[in-house]
Order: sequence, then structure tokens, then C-alpha cells
Amino acid sequence: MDDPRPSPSPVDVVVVGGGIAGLEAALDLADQDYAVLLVERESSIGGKMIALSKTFPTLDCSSCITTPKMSAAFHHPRIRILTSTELERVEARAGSRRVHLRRKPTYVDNGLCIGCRLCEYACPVEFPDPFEEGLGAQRAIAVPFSNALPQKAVLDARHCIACGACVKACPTDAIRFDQQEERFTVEAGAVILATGFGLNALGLKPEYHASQSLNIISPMQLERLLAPHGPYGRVLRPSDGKVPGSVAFVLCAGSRDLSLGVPYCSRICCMYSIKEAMLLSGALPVADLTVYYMDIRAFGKGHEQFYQNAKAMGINFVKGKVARIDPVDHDDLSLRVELEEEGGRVEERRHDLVVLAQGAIPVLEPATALGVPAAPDGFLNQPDTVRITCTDIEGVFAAGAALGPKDIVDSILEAGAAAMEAARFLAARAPASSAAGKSTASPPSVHA
Amino acid sequence: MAALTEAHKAALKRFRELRKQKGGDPGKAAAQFRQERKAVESALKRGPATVPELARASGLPAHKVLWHLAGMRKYGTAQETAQDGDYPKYASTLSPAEAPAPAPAQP
Ligand SMILES: Cc1cc2nc3c(=O)[nH]c(=O)nc-3n(C[C@H](O)[C@H](O)[C@H](O)COP(=O)(O)OP(=O)(O)OC[C@H]3O[C@@H](n4cnc5c(N)ncnc54)[C@H](O)[C@@H]3O)c2cc1C
Ligand code: SF4
Ligand code: SF4
Repeated sequence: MDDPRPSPSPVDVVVVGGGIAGLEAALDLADQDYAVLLVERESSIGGKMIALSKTFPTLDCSSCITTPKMSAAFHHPRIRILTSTELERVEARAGSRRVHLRRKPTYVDNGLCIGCRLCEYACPVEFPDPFEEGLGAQRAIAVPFSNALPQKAVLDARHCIACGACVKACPTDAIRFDQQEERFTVEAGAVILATGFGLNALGLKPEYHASQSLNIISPMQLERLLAPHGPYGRVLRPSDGKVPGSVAFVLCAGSRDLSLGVPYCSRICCMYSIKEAMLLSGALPVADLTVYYMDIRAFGKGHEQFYQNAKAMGINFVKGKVARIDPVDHDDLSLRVELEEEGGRVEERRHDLVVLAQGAIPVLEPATALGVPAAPDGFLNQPDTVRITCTDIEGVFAAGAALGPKDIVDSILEAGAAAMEAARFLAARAPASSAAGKSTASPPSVHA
Repeated sequence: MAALTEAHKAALKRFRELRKQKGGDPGKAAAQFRQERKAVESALKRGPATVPELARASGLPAHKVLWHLAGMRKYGTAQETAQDGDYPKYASTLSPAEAPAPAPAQP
């Protein structure tokens, strides 16, 4: 079997983004017998959720919930998945949507690779593992992570020294150094954008000196430290492998600040920080845990109770503004805090690990991807206040964090709504002869 | 283990040339990686040790030692053994024949 080629045949729906929102939307449509093409720019589906340790407010194991969804989509007869494939733009012309995609080379023929990882074990080069947020190590050719889908090796051309050891080790001769980038176009009846969100830079506030200390970490890094198979196998601070004794969370470290370009509230930071503090109190029972906040926004179902539980567990919540963070001796950090409940008294407080709640920012540029202006917050515009998953382009819908920062439950709700809109749109435009606009062509059987 | 065919060699050569045109050369980083990894492996030959101890023995910064230990744990050449105060201790899982000889201790 050759490397799976993108099918030139039209599909009913292209879903862009294989995070929880995209997976849900794809499954909803495929279960109604629509032919779906799901494209994901990373080398595995799963989005942010597959990297989280546990989820608020229920503290369920995140990968235990995500993995079955990934697998259901991956093995669905009506869904075809293309990974390492990025949406460039959607072109909407009279009645048709042309989806322009770019497939990056993985240098492995997925039709031949059996995911045995022999190439990975043979490879002599390691670099900071992106899945572990740079804290772990990854070989230049590797299956991206243990529950990645597809379970296929991917070669990173930026780190590979072209020594050929992987080619010699591969039992199926699957490695293809001559693979090239491909651009192609798919005709789709409808499109669902589920491209999610990004996080703004840790070093955004110069007064926090994040670039000067490895012990100022991102919340995603802490998720990986807390994950059962995380980079160190336990929570240690990155500068020297010490078990942290005093951890600070600084909320709103990249949101609600016009000067950072993020005037809005990122909505999820309060809750994920409270969750991480709770999980840390389990992982480090003797550690002193402090959350510095402006105000706690716990508006979702079960969220306020979750916050109260965290307080009852002994986590310190300090209302105050962290004015600056300075690296001090022993790789520790000194936080200058204006204590709001003590009339603005300023105090220096020492911690050995600090987590900055980064702001959630858009990843998709609506102007480039759709040719329409973004909403004032930079995310996709929602022109219809009632049908919130509609975009400015007919037949193009959106769901999840692509529309603005939100939690998993809300992302799943929107995915269902977007799938419903897409199905309704296809049915309304279908010729009388076809069943609700569903393509009769059997979807390609190969996954990539 | 298969040998490289002429077709493999030609593809590898073209891959190298193309990358050179684009200005990328991971060779230096890879050499540094191997040198550091060897330093950690040989420091571990003296027995289980914490990250700061291994940093002193290898002459590498502590964060680099921890990163190498993460890679070595993942690929099965090191493991956590015990705890010394606030620091876990790590040991090599390589047989003495596989590990590089210990370097003389750094002052
Ligand atoms: C540290 C942290 C902890 C969190 N903890 C929780 C929690 O405990 N509970 C909770 O409910 N929520 C939590 N969240 C929020 C949760 O991550 C989001 O609600 C969820 O990931 C949104 O899903 P999504 O599918 O919309 O976006 P994403 O998970 O971001 O997925 C989007 C996908 O689209 C892909 N993509 C982007 N652009 C393109 C393109 N151009 N072409 C192709 N593919 C593309 C991306 O690679 C990605 O795989 C947390 C967030 C963070 C940062
Ligand atoms: S050719 Fe590249 S990917 Fe393959 S073993 Fe060598 S360095 Fe690793
Ligand atoms: S490329 Fe070859 S060696 Fe690597 S995982 Fe695939 S089949 Fe195994």
C-alpha cells in the first residue's frame, strides 16, 4: 500500500482540528452517515485535552476520556483522518466550499509503518519533547506519545542528522527521506472549524522575569508534571530536580490587561489553577500551596463547590496583585505581592516554583483563513447571537475554543450544535434524490 | 537489521542537500547532546546520585542533568531509586560494559 493520498473526491464535511470539539463534531456527523474528513495539523489527534492530567471540576483522568473518543473517530467507517495536515484557507464560491490544505512531510509511509518504535530506539538524537512541553526528551524519529493516534513514527527534519540508523532498523522499510510537502484542495459541502486556542508567551510580563528562571513554569508544563507518565514520573522543579516545597499560582498573568493585548478574561485559568493546586496537594502532601488572585471566576456547574473544596483542603487563596517576580538564591523566586485584604500592604514572599496562568489567545486568523475580519477579541466572529456556531461564511461553522476560551464541557456542547447546523445546511441544499445531502461514495478506508 | 540500499543512500543525500540549502544544520546540537549524555552516564557509574550531585560530577548545569535523566528514564537507561532529602536519586540501568567510563571527579 502506498502512502495514503488525499482523496480528490468531495466530502460532506471537513472538520478542521482534532481536539475534543473537532472529534465530537466529526463523530456526531459520521453517526448520521455523513462522510467526514478530519484534518489535524499535529502528528496526533487529541488536542490539548490528551495532554492534561485530570479535568475540573470532576477530576476525571483526562486521557482516559479522550483516548476512547480519539479511537472512535479514528476507526469510524465514515471518518477519514489526515494528521500533519493544516488548513490554509477556505474559499467559498457560489454554493461550494473549497478547503485548501497543506500536508507536512513526516518522512514515514503510514501505509507501511507498524508503530513498532524500532526506529526510535535506534535514533541517536534527542531534543526537548514538545508533547512534554520541553521538559522531557524525544528522539528525532518517534511515535509522538504513548496514546497518540495514529501510532505511526514521525521524523523531525530539524533535529535529524540523516545518519540512516532508523532506515536500517525499520522492519517494513517505511522511512521515506524523499517525502515532500503537499498542497491540495478538497471540495466540501460544509466546514466546521474547531481549531482551538493558543496560550500567550510566558515571558509576556517583563516584571515577572520568566526567561530568567526555569522554575517559572506554564500551566501546561504543570499538567505534564502531574500526569502519571509525565517527563520526570513525579512533580519536580525543572531547574534542579528538587521536590518543590512551596508553590505559587499567579492568576490573570496574561489576561485582563489591555497592554498585553488580552483585555478579556481567559475564563479557564481560575479553574485549571485551582484544579492543579488540588492535584499538587495530592502529589506533594507537605507542600505549601498559594494561589494569588484578583477575583475567582467559578461560574460553571459545580465550579464554586470545587473552589470551596480547594480552600477546605488547605490551599491558601491570597487576594492580591503580584507586582514582580525576581529570581533569588537556591533557584527560588521572590514575589512582591500587594495584599488587597491588608490595605495594599506590600510583602515579599518566597516560593520554589511559580506557575503563571497564561492568557488564552486565538490560533486561527479569520482574515487569512476565511477572508473575513475577526471578532474584537481576535477569535472567530459570531454574527448570529442565537445560532452561535455560524460564522460570517455560509456553510462554515465553528465550535470550541476557536470561538473564544472555554472549558471542555462548553466545547463539547458547541461541537454538537455545530454538527447540527452543518447537517441542517447540507439537508436544505440537497437535491431531492439524495438522502439529506449525504454522499453515497464510501469514504476512503485508509487513515493517515 | 537491513543494510542501506543505493536508493536509501541517494534519498538521504538529497535530504541533506535540501536541508543545507535551507540553512539548517542539527549536527552541532546532536554532537553536544551526545557529549552531555555521556557525561551524565559516566557520572552515574559512581552509583546512585541526586541531580545536584550529578551536576557537580559531570560539570553540567543541573537542569540539563534533569533533562537527560528524563530522556534516559524514557528510553530505559536510568531509573529513580531512592530519595535524599528533597531530591530523588537516580541510578543507571546500563551494565558496566555499556556505560562510558567515569570521568575524574570535577573539583
Ligand atoms: C493548562 C490547561 C488546563 C486545562 N484544564 C481543563 C480542565 O481541567 N477542564 C476543562 O474543562 N478544561 C480545561 N482546559 C481547557 C481545555 O483545554 C479546552 O476547553 C479544550 O482543549 C478546547 O478544545 P478544542 O477542541 O476547542 O481546542 P484544542 O484542544 O486547542 O484543539 C484544537 C485542535 O486544532 C488543531 N489545529 C489548530 N489550527 C489548525 C489548523 N490550521 N489546521 C489543522 N488543525 C489545526 C490543533 O492542533 C488542536 O489539535 C485547560 C486548558 C489549559 C491550558
Ligand atoms: S536518520 Fe535521523 S531520524 Fe533516523 S536515526 Fe538518524 S538521526 Fe534519527
Ligand atoms: S517507521 Fe519502521 S521502525 Fe519506525 S515505528 Fe514505523 S515500522 Fe517501526
